[in-house]
Amino acid sequence: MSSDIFNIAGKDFSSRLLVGTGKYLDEKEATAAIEASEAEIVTVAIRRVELEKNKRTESILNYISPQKYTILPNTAGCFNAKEAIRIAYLGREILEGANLLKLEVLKDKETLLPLMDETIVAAKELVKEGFEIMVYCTDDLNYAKELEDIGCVAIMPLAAPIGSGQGIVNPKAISSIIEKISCPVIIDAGIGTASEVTVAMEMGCDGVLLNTAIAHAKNPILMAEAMKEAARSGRKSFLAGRMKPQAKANPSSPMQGIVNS
Amino acid sequence: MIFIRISLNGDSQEIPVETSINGLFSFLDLSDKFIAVELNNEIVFRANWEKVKLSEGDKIELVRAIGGG
Repeated sequence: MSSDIFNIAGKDFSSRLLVGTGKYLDEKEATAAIEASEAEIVTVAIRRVELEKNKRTESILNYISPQKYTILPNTAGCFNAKEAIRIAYLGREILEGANLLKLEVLKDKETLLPLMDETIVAAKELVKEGFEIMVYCTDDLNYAKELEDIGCVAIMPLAAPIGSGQGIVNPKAISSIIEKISCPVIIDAGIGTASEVTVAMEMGCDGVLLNTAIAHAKNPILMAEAMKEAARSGRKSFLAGRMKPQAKANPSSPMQGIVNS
Repeated sequence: MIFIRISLNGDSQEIPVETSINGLFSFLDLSDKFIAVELNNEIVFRANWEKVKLSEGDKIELVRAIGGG
């Protein structure tokens, strides 16, 4: 397993679990859960600075350090290509020129589903401008192919709506993306629990990105550990190759030499 | 002291005339670490923060990273 390296945009990672930093109670819980997950790629959102002094909180990058983690700024909250491109540049500036970006352009606040036409427009422009984009998308193979052709560094289809915890709603669509796309495929959004991470990895996903499943677990730190182990277990199972399902029972103990009267 | 009015993160704000972007951080008593600045919809690179002086009616956005998925 030591040679099972996960490469994104020319950089090697050993963890295939990527985590978000939202929805935690406080800085302490976020830091502990993210540490427990052993994720190396961590998403953050880009928002206005709070100007009122008594409402200000410490920058998340002071405790989720860019020295320790690969920070993946997202374009969450953008509903068209123009907004997403603007946030991409701001994120790059905050991270002193780091080009890695999670592109997401959403249809509406209600469903939080990807708006693919605008996602494609933004992806083309951002790749041209030197960004290395990991793209949140629907599970539609045609869009996945288009994103790969544009030069995205990872295709990230949703398992289910953001924050829903419904698990992999459409495994056949995800499987066909894995089969036909050669750049990394990472499940992004909709995972609810550890077994779903294992299933995603067994299906052959290159990684899983999740946030709420850890942050809203009763014990986020324990769930972060579970997710870490689930990703490893699923990956090993995928590499090991499962047995073929059989129509009939087949005894695991020899039928010869049975002690009977 | 003469003051000018700018738009800061969507709100109207009075600041002393001839304030630079670095000066704005001091005026707001705000750390400039991990922050990006937009002036009238264009990013101002950190290297220019001392040089750029704000004018009446300028639209400034100060943004940062927060928790998100």
